[in-house]
Amino acid sequence: MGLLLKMIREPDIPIEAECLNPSAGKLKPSAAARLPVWQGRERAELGDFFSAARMNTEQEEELYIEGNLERVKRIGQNTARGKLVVRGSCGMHTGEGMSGGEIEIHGGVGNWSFCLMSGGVVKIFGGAGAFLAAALPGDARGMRGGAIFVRGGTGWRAAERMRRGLLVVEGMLGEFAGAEMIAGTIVSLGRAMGRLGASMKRGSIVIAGEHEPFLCGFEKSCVYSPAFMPFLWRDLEARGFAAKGARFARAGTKLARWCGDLTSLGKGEILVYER
Amino acid sequence: MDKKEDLRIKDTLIEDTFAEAFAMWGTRLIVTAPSLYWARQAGLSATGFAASVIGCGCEAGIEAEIAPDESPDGRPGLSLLFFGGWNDLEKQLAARVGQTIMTCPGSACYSGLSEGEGEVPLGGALRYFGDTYQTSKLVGGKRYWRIPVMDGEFTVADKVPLRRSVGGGNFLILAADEACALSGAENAIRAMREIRGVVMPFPGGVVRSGSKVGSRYKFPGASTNTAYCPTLRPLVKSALPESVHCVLEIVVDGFDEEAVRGAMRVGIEAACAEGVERISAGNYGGSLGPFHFHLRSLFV
Repeated sequence: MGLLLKMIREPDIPIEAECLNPSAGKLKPSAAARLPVWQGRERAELGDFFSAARMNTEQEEELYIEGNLERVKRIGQNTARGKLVVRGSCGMHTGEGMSGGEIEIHGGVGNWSFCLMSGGVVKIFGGAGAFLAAALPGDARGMRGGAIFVRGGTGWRAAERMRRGLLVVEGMLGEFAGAEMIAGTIVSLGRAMGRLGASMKRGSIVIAGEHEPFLCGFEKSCVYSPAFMPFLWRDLEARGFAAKGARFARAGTKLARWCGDLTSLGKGEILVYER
Repeated sequence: MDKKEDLRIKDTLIEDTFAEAFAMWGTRLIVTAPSLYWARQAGLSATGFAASVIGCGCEAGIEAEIAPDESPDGRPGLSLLFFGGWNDLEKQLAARVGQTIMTCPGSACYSGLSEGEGEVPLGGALRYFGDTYQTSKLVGGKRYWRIPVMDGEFTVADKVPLRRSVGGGNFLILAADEACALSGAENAIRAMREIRGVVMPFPGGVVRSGSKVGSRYKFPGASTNTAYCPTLRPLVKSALPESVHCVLEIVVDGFDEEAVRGAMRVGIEAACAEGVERISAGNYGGSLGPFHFHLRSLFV
């Protein structure tokens, strides 16, 4: 049995609701309604904003939320297992510190979402704000593991200082994506904006769509057909992450490899389809 | 089955004996390349000189060809099976993949097993060849290494699972002459190659120098199987009837008893033909190996 929450009152001041993660799915509706949330410095209860009802689900820890949650912060924070499905858009800091499980958002997410993520699978069917899966201020590392798929676009500095993991963006990949990247993989299926991978040390950025000119710290090294690419792409397709870029799944597809950022360590790469 | 009752397949007598096989560890590697020709070059090299764990460190062979639409990266490939002791296999896999697959143009190497009783490093051991320029990627929850090489990069699985396996299933083809023995052996190998999960590690799948435990000399642990050497018939206690002038052995390693049993069954059936007088098997009295494949029970 899981839990279904429906928004009954949109908060005028944003609320911080880190209790809204899949583990709440195993609570009784009455217990869930008493979960604490913060509205500014005032303490409130979840029941002030949501109605709760039992629903049949596959897993015990499954939470479904419906409503416009743009003023609800920290949804899915510290998710470690189970499943969270949101039908609506979420506020800032969504999924922060996620280490496992599955989050599906049929809407967008606000700035600073999925920072400190280290595991699990996320599907965002809308867009994402700035600093998606990036390092929090003062933190040395951004995303540390897991996979995020974004059907829409992202704001700037997505996956900044990414250490590990996978980010797939079907729409526009905002400026400075992968800046100071340490490792991991970013896949852009739409248009990649400028200053991509600025100061990246290692890691891979794969561009299956359009892109702005690369920074001068990137140098084209060769055109080749890495066996790894169709292997990776088949995995993306199996996860439903790669609706575009089918040519990348074909063996022998030629890619240009750009090494960079040479102003930093320079062991990163941008792989672009070579026409 | 009544022991006194003869079992014959197409006039070939199936002797009332058994093959004795041993516990080993095994794994499957998938090698892909830009063409089947290059996948085969890599596969043949990697599984070459891998006939016996005693002399070669491991036993290996090509299990099957893999069509592009079934391979991990959409290119033609081969599946290779390797068997041996845990420590030997760990060393042999890294050495063989490093020297024969990584060196082969356009190749990539993946694991062909999703799980096993444990894992040994493969790409994890080879990655240092990348001189700090290697990169690792997680795909489907498993780590792969991309090692820069002169034609691009070599993709290799970080670790490969090992699973408990069976090594040393065998049968002997006792024939009237060399031509009949060869024909029977070739037919057997052709049929056995249709079975998945097994390989016949000797050249062409066939052994002509079968061995026995011990020697008249002090130092060798094994020596020629005198009882089955037709040239020694008057000199030793021969196991060969008068009509037999040539013996060939087929050794089969597999992931489990059922696979080995199935391969032996189709192999023996295919080997039985005119001029093949008898089918026998090698054993050590049943005291050394835990797996006993009674020839007649294969056909019950």
